Amino acid sequence: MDALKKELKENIIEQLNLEEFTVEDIDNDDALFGDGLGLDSIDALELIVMLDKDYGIKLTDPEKSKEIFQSINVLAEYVATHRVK
Amino acid sequence: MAAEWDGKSRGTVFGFKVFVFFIKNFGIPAAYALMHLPIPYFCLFSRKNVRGLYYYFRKRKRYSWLQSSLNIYKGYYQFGQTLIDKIAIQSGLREKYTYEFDGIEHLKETLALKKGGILISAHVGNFELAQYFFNDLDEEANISIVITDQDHEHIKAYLGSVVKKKQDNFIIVKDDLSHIFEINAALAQNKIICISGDRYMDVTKTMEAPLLNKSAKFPVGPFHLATRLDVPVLFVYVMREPKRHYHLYARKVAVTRRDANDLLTKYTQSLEEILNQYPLQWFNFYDFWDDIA
Repeated sequence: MDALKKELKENIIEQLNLEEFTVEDIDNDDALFGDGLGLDSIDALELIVMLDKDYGIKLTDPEKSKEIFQSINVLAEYVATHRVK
Repeated sequence: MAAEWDGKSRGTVFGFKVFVFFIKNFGIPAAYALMHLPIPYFCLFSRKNVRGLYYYFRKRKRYSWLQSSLNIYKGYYQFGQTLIDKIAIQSGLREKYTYEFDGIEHLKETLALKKGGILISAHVGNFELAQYFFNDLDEEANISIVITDQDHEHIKAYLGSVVKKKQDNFIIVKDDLSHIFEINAALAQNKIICISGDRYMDVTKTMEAPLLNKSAKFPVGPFHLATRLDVPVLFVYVMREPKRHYHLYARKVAVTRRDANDLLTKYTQSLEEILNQYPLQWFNFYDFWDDIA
């Protein structure tokens, strides 16, 4: 699970071009949106595309996604149980 | 005075009903003539809008005082005509209009790539009509229009009851990010997203660029979206010409990934070209440049 969390952080940093962040800067409990990493709605769209491309996860429910994108911990948990690749 | 658009488009459902009645019973020219009734009212009582428009003609387009004042009336009239055209075409009177499509090959190339596409337009001419003309050309050219105007939702709900075609092609920007999923789903189905690049509300993040030699604010969303999704990007305008003729323009844009500022600069340059050709069809009736004392 730790490896997946690290991988997710790396993917997020690369996908969203968060040059000012390193894997160490992102705490597993940090909020991805709002006060935490401060991601915006278009970042969310990029994350949705990334989850589909890298893990075969198709998110279609906005409410569900809000929960999933809460933090790296929650996201990793979801990816681990729902990934198809 | 706040520069941003207040989120409301003038015109009530009752107003629309009157015009639908006229178009259906007396024809399109009669409806155009009827437009001369509300325009003086708007000119007299819609001070904020008139000031915004006067500023555009006088300060940005550098027309004389007299010319600017006359153009306010003419601009309102053309805006009224585009509204009537929209109602008429949506009500099934498409055959009463002609059009030409400048740059159709760019749209065809975009569709052939099967990656979807983003069309960035502006509140000039009649860009919501794009979907009707595009559908004539290609059955697959399925266009979703992203709008933020809550008030328009209201009017569209009414229009839905009088128009022939079902209005399921609008993606409304909401706080819950549902529009993000709709945009994602639409692009995945090789659909085209049409989004306006020129209007923002105070909740929207903005970026600045000069338009007609003066810096103005633009919404961040369309430009970030278009530079981050690796899909083709086109600037599209649907401009009204005399005798119920529409001239569609599609211009392919070279996008530098993640460079939203570069795309915005290209957009404002493109918009300026269109406004040079069609100065009366600028339909942002508010203090766009945030420069009116």
